[in-house]
Amino acid sequence: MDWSPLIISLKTGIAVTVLSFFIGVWTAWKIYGTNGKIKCFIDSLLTLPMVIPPTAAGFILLLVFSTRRPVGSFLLDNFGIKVIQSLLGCIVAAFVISFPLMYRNARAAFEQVDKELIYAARTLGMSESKILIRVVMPAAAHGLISGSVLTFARAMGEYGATSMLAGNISGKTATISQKIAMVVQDGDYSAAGFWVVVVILSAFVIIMTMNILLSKFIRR
Amino acid sequence: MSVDIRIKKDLGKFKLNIEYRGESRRIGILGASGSGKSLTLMSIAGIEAPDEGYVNIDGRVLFDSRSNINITAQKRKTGYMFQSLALFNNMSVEKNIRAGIKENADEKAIKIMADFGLSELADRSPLQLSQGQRQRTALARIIASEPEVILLDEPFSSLDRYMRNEMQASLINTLKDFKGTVITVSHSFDEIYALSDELIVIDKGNVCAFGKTEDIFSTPPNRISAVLTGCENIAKAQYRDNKVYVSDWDIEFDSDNKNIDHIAVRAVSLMLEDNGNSICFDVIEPEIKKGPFDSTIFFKPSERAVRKMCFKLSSKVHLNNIPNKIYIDKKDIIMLK
Repeated sequence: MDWSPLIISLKTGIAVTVLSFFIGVWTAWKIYGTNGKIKCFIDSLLTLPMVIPPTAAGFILLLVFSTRRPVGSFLLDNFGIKVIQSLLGCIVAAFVISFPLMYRNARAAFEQVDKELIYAARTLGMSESKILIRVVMPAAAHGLISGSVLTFARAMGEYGATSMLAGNISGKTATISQKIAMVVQDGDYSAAGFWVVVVILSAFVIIMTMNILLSKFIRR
Repeated sequence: MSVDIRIKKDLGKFKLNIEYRGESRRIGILGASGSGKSLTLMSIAGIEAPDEGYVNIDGRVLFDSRSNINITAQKRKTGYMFQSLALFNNMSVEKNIRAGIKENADEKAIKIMADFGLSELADRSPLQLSQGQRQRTALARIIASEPEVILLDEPFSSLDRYMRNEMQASLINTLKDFKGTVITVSHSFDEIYALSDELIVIDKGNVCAFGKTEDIFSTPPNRISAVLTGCENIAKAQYRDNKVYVSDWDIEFDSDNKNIDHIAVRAVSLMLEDNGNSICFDVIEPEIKKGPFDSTIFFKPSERAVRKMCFKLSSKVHLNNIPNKIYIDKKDIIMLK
C-alpha cells in the first residue's frame, strides 16, 4: 500500500499552516498599524490569491518558478532549489492559495481587539512585539484559531495551483486531492472512495488536535 | 511651569484646539461627552498624535511638532487609566501588575499587591474580580509602572454610587503620595471637584474656561461652565437701564453688569427666608420630584415665566409645607457671559 499521497498532503498542510500562521499574524499586525490607502492596497493584494481561480494562480507561479525563466533558474543555479515538480512546489502553491485565509482572519480578529488594551500596554511601556504576543494574540485567539484551521483545510485540499506548479508525480508531488482526481480518471472508484475516507478522517483528527492545542497555546 | 499643553488636531467634523498652561499638579478636564477630553488625554499619553502642538509636563517635552519631537507612548512614562480599565483578561492580577515593571519585578509586584490589598487575589483572572477589585488592580498596575504623570479617564464612571465614594477616597489617598502630575477627565463634576486643584472646561474641542477649580465652581464664567459644574437653574438674561431682565423667568433686578447673556442660580443657594440682601421669587405651580433624602421642587418664579426653576428641600420638611416664596442672596446670582 502506497501511503505517499497522505504523507505529502500532511507535510504540505502542516508546513503551509505553520508558515501562514507566523507570516499571516505578522503581516496582519503590520497592516493593522497602518492607515489609509496603503492599507487598502496591500490588503487587496494579499487577498487576491483567494479570489482568482487556483489554476490562474498556479499558472502565474509556474511562469515565475519555471526553471527556464529567470527566478526559477536563479534559485536552481545558486541555491539548488527547485520549486516546480517538487514537494516545495506543493507547499508554495498551497501557501499562496491559503495564506489569505490566515491573514484575513488574523486581521479581522485584531480589529476586534479592544484598542484600549493595546493603548494601555503601550503606556505601561511594553514593546510592540510583547504587546502582539502577550496582549493582542491572546485577545484574538478565536480568530487566529479559525484562521489556522481554515488555512490547514484549504492547504490539504488544494488542487488547481498545486497541479500546475508541482504536477502530479506519484510518490513525489501527488497529494490526496490529486490522487483522487487521477484514480477517478482511471475509473478506479474504489481507490477514490478509499482516499476520500482517508482525507476526511485525517483532516478531522488534525483539526480537532489543532483546536485543542492552539487554544491552549494562545491562551497561555 | 508644571504643564504646558498646546494640541491641535483636525478630525474633519471635529477640531480639537486645546491650549493650557498651569502650575498645578492636580488638573481636571471637565467636558460633555464628545467634547474632546479623552482625545486630549490620549494626545498627552502619545496614543494619538496631534497635527501640531507642544506637550511639556514637569519639564519633559513629550511632543513638539516644530522640532519633530514625538516620544513614543512606551517612553512617555504616563500611566493611563481607561474608563474600561483595560485589564488583560488572559493574565492573572499579578501578571497584569508585572506587565509594566521593568526590573526587580518579583519584589515590586509583591509590595504593590500588598499595598493595594491584592495579595490574596494574585492568581485570579480580572474576570473573577469585583468592579472595585478591578479598579484597584488597574491603579496598582499603573503605580507599578512608575509613571511620572497619571492620566485618569472617567475613572469612576463604571462604579455604582457606593463604590464610587469608597474608590474616590482610596484614589485620593493613593495619589497623595504621588509626586507627579495627575490629569483627570470627566463629565461628572463631583469627580472632577474631588480630584483637581485647577480645572479646564472644554466644549466642542475648545477650552471655554480655566482656573482654580473652586473659582470655576463658585463663579462659572459662561453658560457651558455653569451647566457642566452642575448649575440647575440657568436662564437667558439681558442688561437694560441698570437692570438685568431675565426673560425666561420674567423677573428683573438691579445690576450694573452690562456684559451678560445668561444668569445661573444653584438650587442649594435658594433660601427659605429673606436675609436683607436677597431677591424674592414666587413659588407658582410647584411640582415635586421626591428623593430619598431631599426632594426637588420645580416651580415658576413668576406668573409669566416660560421656564421653571428648582430648589431642594430636605426630606425632613413635610411636603405639604412648600413655601410660597423663596429667596436668593444677590451675591449668589451667577452672571454668565
